[in-house]
Amino acid sequence: MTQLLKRINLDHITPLILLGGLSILPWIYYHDYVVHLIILSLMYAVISITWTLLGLTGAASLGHSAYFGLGAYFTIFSLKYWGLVSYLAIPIAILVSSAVAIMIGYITFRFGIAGIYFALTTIAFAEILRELFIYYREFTGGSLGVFVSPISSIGYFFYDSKIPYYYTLIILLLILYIYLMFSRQASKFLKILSAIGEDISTAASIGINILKYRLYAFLWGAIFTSLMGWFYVHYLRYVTPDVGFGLGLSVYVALLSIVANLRLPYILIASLILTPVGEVLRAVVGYQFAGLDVLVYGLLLMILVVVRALRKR
Amino acid sequence: MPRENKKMLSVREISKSFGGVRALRSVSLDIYENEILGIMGPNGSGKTTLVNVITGYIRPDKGKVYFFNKDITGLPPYEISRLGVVRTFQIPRPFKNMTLLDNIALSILVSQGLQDINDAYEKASLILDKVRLGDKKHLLAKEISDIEKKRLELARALGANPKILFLDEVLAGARGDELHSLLKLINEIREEKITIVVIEHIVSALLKISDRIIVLDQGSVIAEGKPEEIINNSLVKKAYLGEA
Repeated sequence: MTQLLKRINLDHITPLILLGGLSILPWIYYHDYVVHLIILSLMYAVISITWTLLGLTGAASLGHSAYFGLGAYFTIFSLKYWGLVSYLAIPIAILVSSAVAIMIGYITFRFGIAGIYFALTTIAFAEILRELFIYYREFTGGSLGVFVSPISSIGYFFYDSKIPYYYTLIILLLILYIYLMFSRQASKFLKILSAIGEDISTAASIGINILKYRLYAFLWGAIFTSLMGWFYVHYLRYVTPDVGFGLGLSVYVALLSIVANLRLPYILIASLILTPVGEVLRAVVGYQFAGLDVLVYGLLLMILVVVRALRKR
Repeated sequence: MPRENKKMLSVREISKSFGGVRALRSVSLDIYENEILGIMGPNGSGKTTLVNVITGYIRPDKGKVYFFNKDITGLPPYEISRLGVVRTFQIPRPFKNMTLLDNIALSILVSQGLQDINDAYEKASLILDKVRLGDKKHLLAKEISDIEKKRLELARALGANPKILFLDEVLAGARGDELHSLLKLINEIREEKITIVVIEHIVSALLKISDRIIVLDQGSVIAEGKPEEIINNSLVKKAYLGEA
């Protein structure tokens, strides 16, 4: 029994207990808005965990929303213009995001763009995409965005009810993701990413190919974030350039990761607390104090940065 | 003696300047299998720059580095490390927020491409025992003393499966028993058929341990020979003491 207790890792068990509890919650107590908040929280948690992979290597992307936007828009293009079913839109979304991630990742990492310059490059990249998607309005709907009409047929993932469909899918995706993250191979992968973040020179001295692993982290992030774009479009049925490529989403997923101290299981907890706070602030006082949620997130980020700086002294 | 052994690594006419400062001036040298080579020289003589060039951290302006006759000039550090040319750093650079065991296991996992994590941890444990850090293996690297970090540097480098090991001032700061113990450890490593290059500016330690010594001054090789030859070399005396 003692041996068993020793082998239980809190980092592994906490998210599984949380997800286990959440998976039965709506069948015990159902409130439509609460379920909506949980779905959004879990979606942001997935994006933030993918952001953290690259964050572990010491590269902070502030353009992570780009993959969400590409995933969302190319899902809508697949459904609306190319007549594909929902499930065929998944590989399209992933392929486009992956190709873009490899291109941007290779250019930035190959030429050693790091630190603040990497963050600025990624912001600029997401911003270029935002402008492009506003400009080509005949396809993208311009700044108003584009809507998709739900299709109730085999091969499509559109439902009127949140449970079990959207709710169960996002929980299953998160469980799959956490399972992948805690596999033995992933544990080695995460250690390598952390090693790069701690000291690039030392990491190289033991044979770690920095460019390759940073690209892996970038690519992994692009794949799962574009998948969340696909999910978002099916759940809310629209996307705008500001939602898809905006700085807000990039900063928010970075904030969740920083609040959780780059520890993957705690990102889930951070999102389950902060996402509802932001959404409720927007819903309750948004008409009087527009942007109050962003102000709260910004203040929180500032406090965290100051606390970290004081601790390091 | 080393000269009868196979040539392992050759440096040919390496030059490197930083702005107006010529850190290395057409340096050539050979390193033989299973020897302990000492590289010494006063501060600023180009010792660490030479290690940085050999291990791929700095590209030379001119010249070539060969490892078993393969040109490795300009290869990235990770590729050179995987060939078996491994280094430590003058100022220890461990993965501070990992345990000592994690530091070494990661080195083993990456360099040896092991899939079995348990196997890597067992090997890491043995290496930590060898460098006398076995009782601290579960501590974070940032929690150990500076001199212990030097041992950890050595352990991490051993984990990377070296054929040739560059120890950049690993003896600096060690005194008395600690110095004796480190010298003993370096000899033990040599017994595992690993070639060792010890870079130091402390002459006495190098004389004790090296089969052969190369002396650098102002970026040039000014002397090469057995320790007893080096100690009586007039150019070496001049470089260190400013007298002929």
